[in-house]
Amino acid sequence: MKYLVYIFFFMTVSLQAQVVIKGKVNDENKVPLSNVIVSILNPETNAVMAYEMSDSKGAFQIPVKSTLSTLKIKASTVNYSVFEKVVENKSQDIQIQLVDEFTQLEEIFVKASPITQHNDTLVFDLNAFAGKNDRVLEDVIKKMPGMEVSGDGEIKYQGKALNKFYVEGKDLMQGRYGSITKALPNLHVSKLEVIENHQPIKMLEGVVPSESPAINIRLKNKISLSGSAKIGVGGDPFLWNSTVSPMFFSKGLQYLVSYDTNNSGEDLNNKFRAFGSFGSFDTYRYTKDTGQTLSMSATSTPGVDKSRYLDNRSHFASANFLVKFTDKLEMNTNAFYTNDEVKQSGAQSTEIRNLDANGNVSEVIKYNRKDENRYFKEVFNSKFTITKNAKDNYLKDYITINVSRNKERGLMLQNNDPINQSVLSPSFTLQNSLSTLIPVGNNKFANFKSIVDFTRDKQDYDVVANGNVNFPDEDLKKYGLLNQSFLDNSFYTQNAISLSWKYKKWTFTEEYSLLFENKRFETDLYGQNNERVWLGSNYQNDLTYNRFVNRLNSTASYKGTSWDMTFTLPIIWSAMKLDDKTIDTKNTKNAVDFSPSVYLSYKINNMWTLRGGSSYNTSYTPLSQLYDHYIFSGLNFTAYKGKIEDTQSINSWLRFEFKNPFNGLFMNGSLNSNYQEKKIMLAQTIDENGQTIIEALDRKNIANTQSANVNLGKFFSEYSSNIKGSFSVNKNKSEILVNESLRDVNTYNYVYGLQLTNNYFDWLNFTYDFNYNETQRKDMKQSTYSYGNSHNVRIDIIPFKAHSFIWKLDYRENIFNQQKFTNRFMDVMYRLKWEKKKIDFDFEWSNILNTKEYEQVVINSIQTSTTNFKLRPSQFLVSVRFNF
Amino acid sequence: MKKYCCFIVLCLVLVMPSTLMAQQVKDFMRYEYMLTYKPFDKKITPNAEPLIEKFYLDVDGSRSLFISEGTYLEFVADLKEEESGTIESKIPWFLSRDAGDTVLYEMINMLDAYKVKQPVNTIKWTISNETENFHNMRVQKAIGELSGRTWTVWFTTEIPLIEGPYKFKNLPGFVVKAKDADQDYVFEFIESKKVNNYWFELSELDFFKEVTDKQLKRLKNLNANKSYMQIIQETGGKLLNDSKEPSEFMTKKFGKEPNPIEFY
Repeated sequence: MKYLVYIFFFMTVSLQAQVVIKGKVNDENKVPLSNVIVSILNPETNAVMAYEMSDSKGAFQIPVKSTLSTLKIKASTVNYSVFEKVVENKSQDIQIQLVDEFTQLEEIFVKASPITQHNDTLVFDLNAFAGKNDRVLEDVIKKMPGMEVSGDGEIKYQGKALNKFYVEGKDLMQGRYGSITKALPNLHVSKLEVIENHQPIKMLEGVVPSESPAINIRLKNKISLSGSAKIGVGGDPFLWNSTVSPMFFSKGLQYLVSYDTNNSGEDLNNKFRAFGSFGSFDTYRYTKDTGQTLSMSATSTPGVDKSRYLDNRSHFASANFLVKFTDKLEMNTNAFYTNDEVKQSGAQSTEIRNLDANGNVSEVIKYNRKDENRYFKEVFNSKFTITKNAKDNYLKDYITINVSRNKERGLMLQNNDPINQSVLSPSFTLQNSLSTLIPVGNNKFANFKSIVDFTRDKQDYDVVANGNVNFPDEDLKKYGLLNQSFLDNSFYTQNAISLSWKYKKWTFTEEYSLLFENKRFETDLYGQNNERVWLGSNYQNDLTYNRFVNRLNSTASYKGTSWDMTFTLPIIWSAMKLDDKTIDTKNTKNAVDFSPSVYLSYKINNMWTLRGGSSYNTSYTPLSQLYDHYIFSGLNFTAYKGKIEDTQSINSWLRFEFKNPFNGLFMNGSLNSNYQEKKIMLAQTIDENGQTIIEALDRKNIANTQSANVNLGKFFSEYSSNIKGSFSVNKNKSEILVNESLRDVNTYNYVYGLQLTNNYFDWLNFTYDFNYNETQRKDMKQSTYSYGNSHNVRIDIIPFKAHSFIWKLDYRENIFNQQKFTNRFMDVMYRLKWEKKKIDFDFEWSNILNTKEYEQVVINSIQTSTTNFKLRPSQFLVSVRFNF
Repeated sequence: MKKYCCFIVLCLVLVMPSTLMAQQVKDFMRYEYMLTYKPFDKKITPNAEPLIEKFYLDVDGSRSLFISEGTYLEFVADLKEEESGTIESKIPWFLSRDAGDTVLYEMINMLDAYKVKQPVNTIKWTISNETENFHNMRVQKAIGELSGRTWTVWFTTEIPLIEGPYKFKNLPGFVVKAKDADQDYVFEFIESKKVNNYWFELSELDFFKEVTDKQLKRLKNLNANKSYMQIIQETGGKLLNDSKEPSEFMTKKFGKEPNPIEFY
């Protein structure tokens, strides 16, 4: 009973202090106003004590606890009059009416904005960012806000790739700036400037915007010579892998030289990648392949990483100079020399089934080849670039010289009979390419590009037959040595002018280009016993080929919300002329072709996207397939028809993508179809030792390839794991004519895959890949099958900051004809970083299981081969990396 | 991940054609704020310098837009089909308000865009009776809680608007300063001026998929454990230089947004 009294007492006390002001807010027309702030203020101080926002019906209910005798009610919302009323401090209902009234907003200045430089250039003082442990420029750049440096040295500012890297305003390395940032000591640099939205072409400054930034390094007053080095040695047998790169920067002259050498299986051909974003006004890039026409017969290389089998001795040296003539004129010289020796050792056992008219096996050809080959490569390349970059004109021109001397030498055992082969390939290229901007009308530019290339491709293929080589003409068997010579001098030029403009969501581009090509193609065959004998015009080719192409290309592209489309319609007028001096005939072809193509992309909704495209193309027989007398290469004799024929091809594809971000499920797939109609068919006659004679026939034939694939996966966020399944099928149908038997061959390839990845722990990354594949060749009634599977595991462990550990395991299996071929690899790598001295120690042990040979089975439309290739044995390499 | 913030507008600009977003040049009032914030993990880099960005609160009647200067300029540049300027924003969101609702627009991992509509009146504020002085304006302090942060805001009745930075728009006045208890985010009013510039009708943007607040937080969590590689694999793409090891940028997990303005 007592408690009831207390409760009642408290209730009355609180009821006394608690007051509820409620009511409604309407406008002049009695329409309720929502979201109006109704506040209860102290009438003297005007401080807000309580408040509420009126609801959708304009109603509000505000409890207030105050000892004041009066309260001020205020209601305010934008563009209505402010309501204020003083009332007694007691619960009440109040109707508020607000009148439409423009709210006058005043300009207020509270405090000065902090100074934000909107200049194009940001200047970073290196002293402020460099730490005691930093050695080279790259170390400091990594710390600067907005900068990101990737593992291979590519720098991005605010996520954008650089379009230029200058040292004192000069571009020495033309994109390969990694060699500077990884070796220039930061103590020699005074400032790093970031030029945002850098337009390197002065003529376009302020007219054509650029999204890419550029960096300019400013050096301290003294001349700096610097560099870095990496030295690695290892065993068994003695291995080395070293890089030395000194550089010199002064305000007057800049240069960088480097030298790389190794015999540990590292391919130096991809050294010194050039980074950067290339503008659309850059020069043409064109290279004509040399040294491809004549080659030795050799076992095909295995489908595994090159470092596993590259038995090499490589050297690579480069020198780069830059001279600035005037403020607007600059000249670059970049040169390199490479000397490479590679040994390859392999064996292959091939089977070809000859079928009769009923599709039964009439004869089986089986042959074995075993080879030991050496490849020597020596290339010298030098490029001079002149850039004139002025406000009223832009011109970039480079001239390049490439001289190479490649040699091949090998001993082959064909069914245990020895044959010696060798190839000499000296070649020479001289090229000039330029790009310039021409002003057209008001603020529009036309871009004119031109390239001129002269290439001399010479080869000599020598075979010491030892009586073990078959010839189409028995007479040739009497020569101990055969020499096939080849010479191709070609002149190529392409010039184009283009203009583009926009209209609403469409972009149109018109490009007109002119291409001219002139080639001299000469081959001869010689036999030798004591003296060299020319083997006659049956083995001679002497062709002059001219090609003139006029091309007008119109492109229209549309970019909408759900639709993205590109339509291309090139009109091509080609005039080709082939002059055959050995038989004194001329063959010409004039054609006007349309090569339309379409690309469509449709985003159905946020989860589904569909893409598709199709293109139609006409191509003409290239010179490499227009000679009509035999050329001897790879122990095979090949001759085509000297007639320029066209090949029509249609390519179509369709793709779908599905992604549900809420449950981490994703799926995608594609369909692809390629249909080709050729007018010339190759007839192959293969004899019992594998040598082939190839001749061209006038016969229309069709090649059809279809493929499909689908991937399905799910991402488990809680476990930071990904599981993915994939399936793909590839079907190829073509006609072959082998040993006088003409038939259709279908090859099918099925691949099933499963992948698991896990990144749950920051110190442990795990990836597992499983693959199962099946290949079938169906040749009339005969079917040949091969199966394979592979397992791949990679584990990365980073237990402490300075230590990292990688373990890789690779297992592959091939099954054919009840025979099983297995290949196993295991590698381990450990890295120790000595932060204080900025020195890294790497310990690598590759091919721990000492797998000596790689065995695989290859099935194509004509034959089945099992190949065996010699691999690099187990090796251990220790390297140290430091700065000068 | 600082990267994904920078690209918010780049992706918008690429995918959104300018005519879809209706815009007009007109007169309106612009209130400028300065945001000082720390978008990094304080446990890892406790002494890192905070970033400073300018924000616009553009007001037109009962509608407003709270957007960083960098993002606003990117929108304008896209409309004019020019290249964007030099100012970049690291904030991945912007907010619009229409009468009683706010809509928060945000991008996740540079490829997915979402918007969340919420009523203005969500945060519960406790007002202090004392008045203080903020650059010759009388202000009152209020404290409220939003998604894991305790916010202290100062509002004034001397500016006749019920507005404020971010979602702080249901106070009985104009919010001139707002800061959270850890001082990770501090908004401060600088000046206001009448401008004649582009006003964007964001309601017409259908590139942003509407989700609830809870769904958005869930999507962010799901995305935190992914890497760029995984996103590309989800669409069935492959890296061009397949033989090389993918770079750290591709395989690094996005991670949670470090020190976001709303924790949950």
